[in-house]
Amino acid sequence: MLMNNTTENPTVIFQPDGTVETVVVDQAISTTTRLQNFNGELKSSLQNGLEFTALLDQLIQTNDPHELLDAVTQLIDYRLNSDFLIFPQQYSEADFYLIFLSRLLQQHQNNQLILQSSDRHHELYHEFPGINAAGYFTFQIDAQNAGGAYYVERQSQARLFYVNFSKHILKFNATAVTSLLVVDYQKKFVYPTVKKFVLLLIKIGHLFKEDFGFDVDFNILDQSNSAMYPVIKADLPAESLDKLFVVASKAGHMLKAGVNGEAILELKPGLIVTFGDEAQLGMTEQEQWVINVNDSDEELSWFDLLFNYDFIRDWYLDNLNLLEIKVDPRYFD
Amino acid sequence: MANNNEFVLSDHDTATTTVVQAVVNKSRYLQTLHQALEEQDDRLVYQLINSEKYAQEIQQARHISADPSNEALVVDLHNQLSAFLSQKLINFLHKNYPFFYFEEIGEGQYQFFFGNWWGRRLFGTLDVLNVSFNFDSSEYRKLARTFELDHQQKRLNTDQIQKISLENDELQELIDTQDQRDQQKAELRAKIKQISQEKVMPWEANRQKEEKQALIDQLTKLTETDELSNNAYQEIRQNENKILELSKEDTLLSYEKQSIVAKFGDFKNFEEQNEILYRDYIAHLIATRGQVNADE
Repeated sequence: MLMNNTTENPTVIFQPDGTVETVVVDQAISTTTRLQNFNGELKSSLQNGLEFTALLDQLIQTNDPHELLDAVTQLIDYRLNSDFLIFPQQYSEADFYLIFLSRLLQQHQNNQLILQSSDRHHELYHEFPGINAAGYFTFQIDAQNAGGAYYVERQSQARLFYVNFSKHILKFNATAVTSLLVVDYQKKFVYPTVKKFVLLLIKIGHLFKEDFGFDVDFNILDQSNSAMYPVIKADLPAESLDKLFVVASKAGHMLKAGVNGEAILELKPGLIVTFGDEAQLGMTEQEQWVINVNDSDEELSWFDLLFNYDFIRDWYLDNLNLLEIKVDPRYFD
Repeated sequence: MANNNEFVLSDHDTATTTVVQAVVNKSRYLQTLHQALEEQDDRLVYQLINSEKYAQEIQQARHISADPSNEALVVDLHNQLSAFLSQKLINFLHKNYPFFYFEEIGEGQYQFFFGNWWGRRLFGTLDVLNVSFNFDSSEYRKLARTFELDHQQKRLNTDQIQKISLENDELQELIDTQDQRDQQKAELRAKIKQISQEKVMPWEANRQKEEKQALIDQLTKLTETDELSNNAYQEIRQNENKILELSKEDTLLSYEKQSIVAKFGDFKNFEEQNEILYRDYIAHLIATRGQVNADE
């Protein structure tokens, strides 16, 4: 056995006081001891497996959100295999994220996301009724940060949001929401279908916030009237608003000048979009340009306007290099 | 003892009477103005600060034989008077010219914008003492032209936008045909090379030379086109900016036109109204005299 080679080498021990001691380990381990050691390893491997099944039970069955979170955080780190025991059929780390998400929604009486099993890829995935085959949602593990994963639509590689159990954060990604929901789905589905999916994503964000106290950035999906969507070009050139002024006019909407130099677009009574830097919008003194959506029911976000107003969508997509809503650069490139 | 050499001087009593009369006159003028200001009688203030204009414009008002020279007494107060008179005037203008937005740029000094839309144009300054607009002549001309073009169903910049768009189409064509030109150039080079290597009889040398030159000329022409094409992207971008600028102006003008049509029906009525603004305003002051307090 290989082990014999190593035991022939003397073990060198460096003592704290600086002296060095060389010990030669007794080479003659008896067969009985060897068997006992082996058995011990098996027992602890089996025990390890049993503990795993207990955690899996917890993940599948618990009705308590905190137990659920506890189960998943342990499972994604769990080393089921040992040198002595290999389990050939296993769920991946990404699968646990997915199961967790399904269970979390289930705990809140929401069964809109269907957890499916792909025989071809040997993995689990989410499907959303109405979007069906156009959405194959899985988690993708973040290689850089422990406990983190992206919720991804596999075919488009759109990373809709990022969640990290160690950092207690959940962040939506405007870029992916735009490419998948605004560009792709806009052509394929009617608004109510996509909106239903968006509301589910928002619900997920709220559950993380309310059940676990996560710091959730709804980004482009934020429905709050106080949400300020920052654009990537901090000092937006006036020409981009000139363009909006022209296309809005053709669409029968007047872009108005606000008293502080901001631009105001009233799309219908009770629905007003404002473009300006934060100082103009009465926020901080920063010169970061932002977009604000104000609707009387606080149900709409920048996403909804992009989806529903052709001239806004075309303008936004034509000027993405300036207008794209900022995302957290630590998690999205 | 009378000195016979002394010139005859005017009578001191007369001089006293004259100067006292003049001072009383000025003093009365200032007193009247003072009272008019205290009583918020804007009409009277207008009359006092420019009696000639008042007499000319307000024909139905009886001619007052006030001394215009008194008005010089308050010339250095024009900014303050303008500030005083602006409040009622701007209120009046808000109702009659709802599309003008006034901004104070100094004591008694106002400029105004046309409209409340994005990129609205600075349209002129307000002369409060004369109750008139000093329109920015270039902006005003553009608006007038917009109304003229209305009959042709055109906007101010329609032709220019069309011209630049056409130019962009041509530039795009240059870019799109690059491959084609590259191929043609390769063929020409091959032919030139072939001709150069051909051995011909001396009497054919001239013809061969001409043939070669013709090919070289074609090649040069294509290379020149390539150069144009290289700059095409940048030119297209610049042209797009120009088009944006022009479209924006057209949009602004269309909003301005709509505003005038909504309030005055047409441009002619708007101009006529501007002509009689002073008269109109004084008439308004007379009509609303007494309800001033109720108004505010």
